Amino acid sequence: MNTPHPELEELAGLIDDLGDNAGDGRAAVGAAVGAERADVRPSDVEAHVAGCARCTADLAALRGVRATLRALPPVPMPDDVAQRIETALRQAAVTAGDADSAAAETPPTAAISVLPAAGSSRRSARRASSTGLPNFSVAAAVTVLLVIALGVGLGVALKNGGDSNKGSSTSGAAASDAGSIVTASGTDYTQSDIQTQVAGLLLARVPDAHAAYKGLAPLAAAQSSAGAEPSAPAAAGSAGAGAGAAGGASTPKPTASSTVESAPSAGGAQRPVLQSRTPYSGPLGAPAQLQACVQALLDQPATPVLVDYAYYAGKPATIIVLKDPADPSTLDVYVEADTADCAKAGDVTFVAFIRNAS
Amino acid sequence: MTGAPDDAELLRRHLNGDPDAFAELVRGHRDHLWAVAVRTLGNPDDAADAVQDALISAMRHAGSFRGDAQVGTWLHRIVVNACLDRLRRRAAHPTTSLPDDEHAGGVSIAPSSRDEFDERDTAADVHAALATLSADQRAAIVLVDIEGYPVDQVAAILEVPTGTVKSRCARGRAKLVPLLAHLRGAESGNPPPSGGVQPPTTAPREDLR
Repeated sequence: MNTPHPELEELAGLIDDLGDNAGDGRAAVGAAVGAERADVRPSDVEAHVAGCARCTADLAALRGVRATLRALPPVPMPDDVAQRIETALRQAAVTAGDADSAAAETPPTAAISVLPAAGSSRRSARRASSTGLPNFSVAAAVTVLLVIALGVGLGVALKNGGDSNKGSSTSGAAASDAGSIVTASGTDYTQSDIQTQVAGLLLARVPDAHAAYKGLAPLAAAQSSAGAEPSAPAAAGSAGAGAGAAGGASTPKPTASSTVESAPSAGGAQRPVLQSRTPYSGPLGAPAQLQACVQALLDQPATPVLVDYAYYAGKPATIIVLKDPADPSTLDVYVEADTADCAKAGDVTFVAFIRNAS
Repeated sequence: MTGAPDDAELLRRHLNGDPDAFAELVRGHRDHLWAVAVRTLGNPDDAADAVQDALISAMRHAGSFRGDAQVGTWLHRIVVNACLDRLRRRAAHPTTSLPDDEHAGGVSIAPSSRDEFDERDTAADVHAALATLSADQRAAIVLVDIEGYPVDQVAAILEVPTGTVKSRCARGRAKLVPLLAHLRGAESGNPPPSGGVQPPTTAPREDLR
């Protein structure tokens, strides 16, 4: 046959199908080549190789390479590495039942400047209107707007809600374009760390949060004192794309605070993880209530990016993360104390923004 | 080897708050994940970092794991992606030394069994040769030719078509031929009549579950 010598690469492709059983692989050669090189019929290449000393030698060399590779001895994970990883996983599991507490242990990297609430339109109005938050030591924060120099815009507003329902998955707040992540992380959010805490939770739970909200990354980078690469979450994020909506399968981790990994000089960043609540608990537990609350906050219906029935300053509160209607790259995080009545009064305890750095 | 239900069950337990479940899940896969990482990166230190980061990330994202993939495939994907990220970063910052030569013959990669010298030399040569491949080719070669995963599983791990896996392998093998010819000089120099070379180990090491 006058077929040209196949390229070495092409021959190399043959041994995929020849596998290790070169002897009975002739038919497979044809199939492989036919699939990958339409212009040459299988039989041509097969015939060529069979009758060509050079190609036969090449093929043998390729098989030799493959055999060499396959013959490499196994490399079990060394014990020290296995131990180290297991420890890291346990710590992460303990401190981050839902990765939210991973955020909790994060030192706040962003410089946070507390500004008078005047800045933000609707929210500030509501905030100003909010009255009693007797239970919150943060009550003063009612009219506080946190502006973070970092990435995403996170606005945090404290409020309260209706009462409890149960549910285990999304939907809390309305029809979803992308769907909400509804969880009960048990995180105790604090005024100083909420941006970091929320960022950690978002990155862990919201598919593609990394890409969608660039401001999260800097926060997340600071989040893992253990030195996790920022790229790692991204990798996993893409792997687990979709489906985040079912976040409701919350991980109840009544973690004792003592087990929390200590972040060196994280200082106030570290907070004990309180007992997990149930998703859809508290005044905003009913999806309808949550919807009404969101409506009240934004003057328009919206699907929260994330809802966490958790704690703020040690008090039960619902953390609602919404895309800022005016700036999709900014996330506003509202904190509704269970003692407030979001839907009715629209009163916001406080709002914090993490603006997109870029 | 543990069956698929076990992995799925462990994942479920993890999502239900069992703090040990994920570590247990990982235990069943760690040697495979390690082999892939250390061979792709050529360096035990990097591999340990990559695997750890990847697994923690996987644990945190477990809630978004879709049941349409095998748990093992998913874990491999995350680890491989972490490794590829590192390789690319390394390529972008060449100041970071390519530690292949330095580590390839090291304890962590080479076996401590008999034939240690031969095996160690071979492992060192192979790892040095692998370092010349592109990251994508390297990952494909490691998964298909070294670890013995079926092409379609590798395609699932890498999230590329099987044809892409094959072409990456083919290109990689072609590049490796001149680099590794000396290791199996007999075979490459003397093409066997018709039966071809029978590699010593034929079965894939282990299927992903």
